[in-house]
Amino acid sequence: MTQKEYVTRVLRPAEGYLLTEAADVALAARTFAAEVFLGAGDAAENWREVSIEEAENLQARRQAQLQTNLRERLLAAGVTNDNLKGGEDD
Amino acid sequence: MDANLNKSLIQKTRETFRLLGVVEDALQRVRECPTREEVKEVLAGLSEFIELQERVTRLEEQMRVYHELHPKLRAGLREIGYNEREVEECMEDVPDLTLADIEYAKSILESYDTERTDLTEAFFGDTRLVVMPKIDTSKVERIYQTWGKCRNLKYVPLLDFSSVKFAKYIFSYSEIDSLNGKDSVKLKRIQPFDFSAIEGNGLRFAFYCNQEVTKLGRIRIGAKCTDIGGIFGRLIKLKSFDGIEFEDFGNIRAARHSFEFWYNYPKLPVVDLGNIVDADGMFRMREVCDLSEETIRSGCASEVNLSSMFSWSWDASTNLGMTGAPKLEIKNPGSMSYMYVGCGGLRVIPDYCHLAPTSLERFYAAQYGEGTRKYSEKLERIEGLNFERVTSTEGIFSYFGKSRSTYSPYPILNPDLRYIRIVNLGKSACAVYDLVGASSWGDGSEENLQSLVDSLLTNSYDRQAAGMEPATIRLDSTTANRLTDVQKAAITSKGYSITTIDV
Repeated sequence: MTQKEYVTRVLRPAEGYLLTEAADVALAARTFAAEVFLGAGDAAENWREVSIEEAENLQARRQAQLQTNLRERLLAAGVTNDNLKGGEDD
Repeated sequence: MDANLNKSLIQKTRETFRLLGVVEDALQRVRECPTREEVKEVLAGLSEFIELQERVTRLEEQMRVYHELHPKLRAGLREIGYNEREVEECMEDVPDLTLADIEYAKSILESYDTERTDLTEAFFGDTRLVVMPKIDTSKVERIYQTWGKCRNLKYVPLLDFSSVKFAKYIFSYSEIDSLNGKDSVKLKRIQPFDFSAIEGNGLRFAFYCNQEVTKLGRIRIGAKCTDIGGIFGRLIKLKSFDGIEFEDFGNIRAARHSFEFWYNYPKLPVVDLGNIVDADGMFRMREVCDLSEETIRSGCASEVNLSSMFSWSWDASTNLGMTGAPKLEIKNPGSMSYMYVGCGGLRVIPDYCHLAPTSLERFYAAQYGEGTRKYSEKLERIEGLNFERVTSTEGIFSYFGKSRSTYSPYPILNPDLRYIRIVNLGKSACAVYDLVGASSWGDGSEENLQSLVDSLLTNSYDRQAAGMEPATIRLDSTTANRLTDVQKAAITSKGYSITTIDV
């Protein structure tokens, strides 16, 4: 008989903060989390707190980047600028 | 005789007989010495008869035109080189054709140099041109924007393009305002042109954005053609498609955006991709169509780019578009990113576990927009996705992949997406699995919950045992809360950090 014992380490940020990768991660790939269940091989040092305000700013920038990327994709696909106004998809 | 006119005459005749009965009844009532009120009532009943008389007058005028003008028009069309089929097609497509239009076409025919080999912008912007004469194009090798901005052009007969090596934007032009239909030709049909001599990517965007076309003849494409990108894109009114005759379909390698924005055509124009390696944005179906019984195949030895293949096959304003996704038998799938982005009418995405794409970034994401527009996300099940080779799953179920409540004015909905089956999660080098955006995953039934547990735990790769770097699985809090503490612990023990966020 084998027996497995799991130890879960959970990171939670202080109030008004979220967690994000401590490493230099590209904005598009950055994680924002209210809770991190650390995986085997991961460490608390790999995560840092970020204020919700800063996270919102970063997200806004990421969103702008995404929108720009999407527009470029759509324009390349023959979709017009006029169509893109007002949240149209094409 | 013109079929419509004939039908109209029969209808009018029937109506006349009916109204004669009405008049007879009215006269009878008048004879019966009615009161003033009754006379008024009788007269009101006769107004229909007066309208009919006016319509008959108009019909007589049409008949006069038909008998006097049409023979002259038909004769004129024969003089500009049309055969009988083309004469009748033209009469049907251009009901307001005038003798002056034909005279103008004649002047073009008379001045045309039959030795020309290049028709680049030859008639560009000619707004006087309504019907194209049958010029001798047998020596033409290049066509580019030849009839661009001919906004009154309504009919082009079958021209000899068998020597053409390069043909782009034949009836349109490459500026962005062409996409809105500005200065677009008014052609209703595209002839079965012969492009036997076309070379390389010489047919890209050939018939792009001919927005009035409803009938597409059987185009012949030669063996030297390798790229049909955008060739029939934005034929938004197309209803009849006779297929394409490829001399050697195996040589076609790229078909990017080739059949996109077919708003009125409910079937897949191509299901066997042959050796196509770039099928990015190939289809964009806007007519109601259930493709769940269709299978798209490819035996191509090289990786096939399937990005955006059906993206935005849904029109939220009309609620029309693709309702069922097709099966895929693709030997070497590459990217499947953006494949069903914006497909708000899908209910089920079939089992694609037999495919191992390189990317699933924004694979299904119904939400995008700046305004108040709402999509109709109906997706309930994703029967199978294989993460064995993925390098990115960013925003796989949501365009923005982030929290609604904390950051985003754009709600990530997918309220009915409760069943998702993923195999081989963690097996590739991909370090982040962005599964936010499926907040109902696991909800509603034991089967749904099992799909969550199997995807993240049972069928996930043991990165820890394999000595791989830990990876991150992003979930929204609601989904994560469906996992027990033991399940979460077991997932983390396989080398995954689970991050949660409120959606």
